[in-house]
Formats: sequence, structure tokens, C-alpha cells
Amino acid sequence: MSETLEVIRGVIEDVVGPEWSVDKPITMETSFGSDLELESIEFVALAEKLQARYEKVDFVRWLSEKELEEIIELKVGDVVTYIDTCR
Amino acid sequence: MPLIDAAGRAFHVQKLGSGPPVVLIHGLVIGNLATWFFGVAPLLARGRSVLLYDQRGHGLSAPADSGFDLATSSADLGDVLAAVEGFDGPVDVMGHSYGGAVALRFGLDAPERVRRIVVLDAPLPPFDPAEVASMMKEVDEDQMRQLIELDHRQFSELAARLAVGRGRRGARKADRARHLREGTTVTADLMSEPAIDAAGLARLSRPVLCVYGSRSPFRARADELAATLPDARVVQLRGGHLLPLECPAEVVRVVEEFLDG
Repeated sequence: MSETLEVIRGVIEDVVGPEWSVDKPITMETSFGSDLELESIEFVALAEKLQARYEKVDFVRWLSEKELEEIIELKVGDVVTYIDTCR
Repeated sequence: MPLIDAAGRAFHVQKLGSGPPVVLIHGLVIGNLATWFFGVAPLLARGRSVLLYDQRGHGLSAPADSGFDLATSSADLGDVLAAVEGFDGPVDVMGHSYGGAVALRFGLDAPERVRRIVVLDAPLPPFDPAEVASMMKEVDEDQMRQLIELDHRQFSELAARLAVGRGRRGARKADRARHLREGTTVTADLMSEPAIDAAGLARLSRPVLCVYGSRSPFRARADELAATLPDARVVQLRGGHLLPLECPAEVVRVVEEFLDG
């Protein structure tokens, strides 16, 4: 089990909130758009929280520079990989 | 530092890029800084320092029960600018929908802090009930798709997917919109907003770009502004009221032309 994945799970639960808890387990294959149904402002919140957790990761910029179509398809595993490459 | 203290109130802000400063102001109820974050903001940030913030009671800023009038919104903008490094001098100000009215009001309240103003499909007070409804209307997925198919094949699928939605996402957005409409003074504030100071606008010495959607309910406002302001340019884009989501690249193209010109 990747430590980064554990952190991201915690951040996702924090962003989405307990009253909207996700009914499926969060894996590397979970998509932010279609599985988690993150709203746009929640994407921003997620980026900020990850940035605060990993100082070397410019997640806000990484996300804002992505093609919109890429963000729709973004999976938890993509973020784990990105963070692990930065460290 | 996404949360800042501006005159005692917490505002959620984001800064992207570097260069001449421009602040972006979102519209009410369905708006927040994400209106810009995935489209207009990163494009503009290629050559500018772009400040985004959530207005009071919106997005991740502190909740608010009241203060959704232009005088308070303009004061909030002044407080946010004063609290962010690099934005305390004269800046370019761009607002969408109600945020466009805030931009104009700020130009009247604090002309020394404004370089140029961009008004994106904004209504002007006094707002009539139909305008208030248009400003606060949620757009469902089918309507958003129609917009895409009609006008913008390059329309960001993401904007459509994230701005609307069924299921969990739709429910969360609907909850927040309901709270704003029913649990705050937003409707009353909009309905009692006094007429904009037309004499003040007629003396406003700052260049103003007015960008309106060809199918927007507010499109007639562009001509009113052009007739009132001493230095106004009007551009019409093919689209409806949600231009920053519908066609961010087109919006940035005309805004950069104006700001660079």
C-alpha cells in the first residue's frame, strides 16, 4: 500500500466531507470526475491541501496547466505518480 | 496561503502566473473562483499575475448571511487587494455577471486603485426580477450540453462536467445554492440594489471593455455602457451568459487584446 495513496484518501475525504462519503473504496483507478464526482471548487481545494502537505509539489500549477480533457479523466493513481516523481 | 484575512474576514484566494496584476471577480450563487481556475485564469497567467478570490459566502471563503450588495462587495474587493502582495497598487479588474457590476462599482469607489476594467456579461442595477433569476440560475447538464453543441465545439467538456452534474455533485451544488438563496439576504440585497451612479460612470476615466454573449439575457447592457462610459469598447462573443465557462480561450483573446493594446 502506497503511503501517498493513503494521504490522498485522507485529503479526498476531507474535501468531500463525511456527509457525502464515497461508497466505493478509493484506489489508484478511481477517477476524480466520474467516480468521486468532485466539483470544480473541490478540485481546487484538493490541489491546495496536497500542496500544503507536499511542499515540493506545485500541484495547483500542475492542475491549472493540464488540458481540460486530461483533468476529466484524471485518476487517483495519476496524482500518486506525480507526487512520487516530485519527491 | 489560500485563506487570507482581509479586514477581519477570511477570503479564499489563489494567485497564478507573474506579470502585471489582474484580479478576477466571479458571479453569485453558482460562481466561485473555479469559474476561472480551469480556463480563463491559467491562460491569462501566461503573461500576468492573476488573483482569484471567492466572494463572501461563496466557495471556500467564510460563510456570510448578508452583504451581497455592490457597496459591500466593492469594499470586500478593496480589502482583499490590500491584503495580497503586489495588488495594493492600481490593478486591472475583471468581473463576470454580478462580479462585472462589482468591478464597475469598485472603479467608481476607488478609481486610483484601478487601471482598466473588463465587464463580462454583467447586469446593471437596479436589477429586475428576471435579471436576478438569471444571475442565480443553476444550469443543468442538458442545457450546458446544448450550449456546447450550438456554439462551442471546443467548449471545455470539463466546464460542463464540473459546473453541473447529477448525483452527489449535483446535490452538493444544489445544497449550497439553496443555502445562499434561502438562508442569506442575497435575493433581497439584489432586489434593493440602487441604480448605478450613471453620472459617476460618465466621468469614469478608466478604459472599460464590455464583453457580452450574443444570446445572453444581459446583452442590451453592452450598448447602455457604451453610451454612458467615456472610454468603452464593446465586443460580442457567440454564446450565452456563462462566457468564462463556455469559451474561455475566446474571452482571454479579447481581454489580452484590450489589456495589451
